Amino acid sequence: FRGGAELLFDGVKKHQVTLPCQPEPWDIRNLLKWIKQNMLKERPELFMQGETVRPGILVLINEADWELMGELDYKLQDQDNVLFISTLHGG
Amino acid sequence: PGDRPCPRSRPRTCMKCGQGTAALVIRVGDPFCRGCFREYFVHKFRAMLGKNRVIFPGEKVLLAVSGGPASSAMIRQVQEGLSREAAKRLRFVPGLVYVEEGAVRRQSPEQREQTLAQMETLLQATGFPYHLVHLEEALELPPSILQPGPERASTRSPSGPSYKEAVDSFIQQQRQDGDSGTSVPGHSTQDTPAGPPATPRLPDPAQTQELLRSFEAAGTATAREELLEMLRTHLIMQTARDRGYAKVMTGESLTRVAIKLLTNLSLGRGAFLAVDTGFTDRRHGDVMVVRPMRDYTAKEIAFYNLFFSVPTVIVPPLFTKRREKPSIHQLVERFLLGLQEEFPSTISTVYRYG
Repeated sequence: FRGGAELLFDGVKKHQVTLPCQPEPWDIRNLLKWIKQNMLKERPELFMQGETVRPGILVLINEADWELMGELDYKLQDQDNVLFISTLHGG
Repeated sequence: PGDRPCPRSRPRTCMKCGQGTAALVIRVGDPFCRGCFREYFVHKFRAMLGKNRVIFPGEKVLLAVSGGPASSAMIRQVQEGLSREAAKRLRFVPGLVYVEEGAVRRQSPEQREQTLAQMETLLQATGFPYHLVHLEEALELPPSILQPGPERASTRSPSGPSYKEAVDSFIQQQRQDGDSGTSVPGHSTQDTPAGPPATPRLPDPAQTQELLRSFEAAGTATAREELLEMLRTHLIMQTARDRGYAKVMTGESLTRVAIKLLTNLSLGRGAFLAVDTGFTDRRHGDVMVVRPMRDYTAKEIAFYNLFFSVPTVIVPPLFTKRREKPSIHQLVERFLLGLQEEFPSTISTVYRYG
């Protein structure tokens, strides 16, 4: 998490997570749900809006724009790196 | 057109060179690889300055930086521009100014010291002379700061001199002033480009209290944001005047400019739209503000900083009271960014028609 987004996660920028096995595939959509339930300490509305990220938050998968990867539908793979950058209030 | 990208994670190719793996999407659906993106980004900066032609060769330019992504990217563009081969090189003499605002961002003294130390490291690494100012110092500014300073004779021609004429008279002025165009070392240790960092010192707690009192007195979140902006601007202008800078560069991005535009409209400042958000701002008379980042979206800046390791120092936002209604600035930001999701040309449209 960068750009100020880390402030919503105890100020910790890098989180290594192991997602539990489940029948549904792990895509970004489900990852976000998991993050909301398990990691967001405060003010979820500053990070998420509905099932996606709040406008102004960029999502990168393995350092590439998630728009190139299918956004919420991207299927996570082992060792994938997901980066959320907040562009709110930046100058 | 308008199709969602294929939900498979097969990498796409750069639309510019047709070879590299696309790293990001610019504007509406234009995939660029890292290399082409870098060229695009660097070229845009040079083109902005080249097209607008307001910076004279050898002139001193004060870069107002906040540690945030846009102004940090701006520093990098200046560094890149100055180091290019002779023909395409940017030719001006930069200085940096940083306004430390920890008091109104609810930072403890320790946090403020830490932020200052990080910023000082960042500023020193550039090798440019830099100036650190605390927001508290705005309380001491003379009231005359509110008047525009006298315009320099060279720019007072009624129809406006051509760029070449302006450069010529600028060079003449330099010779008269006995100034070689390079910056003179400042008085305090903070101004020297080299040497060990001076221990950053915070202002007197009494001053901090007074500053906080003015902010509390502002009443609404909107008024506080406006107050912060005003005090910061005045401090930057004063620094520019004190140190002999006639030009100030600020890092407002396209996104920030669009937000400012709509916010100011809502605040009844429609008459000032052109100066508040344009590339140049001559309101302050003797000091001109230039906004070279105004054509970059927040997204482009964020990706550039990540890919090319541009250092930034993030600080918490301006303090808000519990249960307070959000400021107009926050509402406009939320509104614009939300619209942008559905209609990707929102921000550039606001900017074009603004």
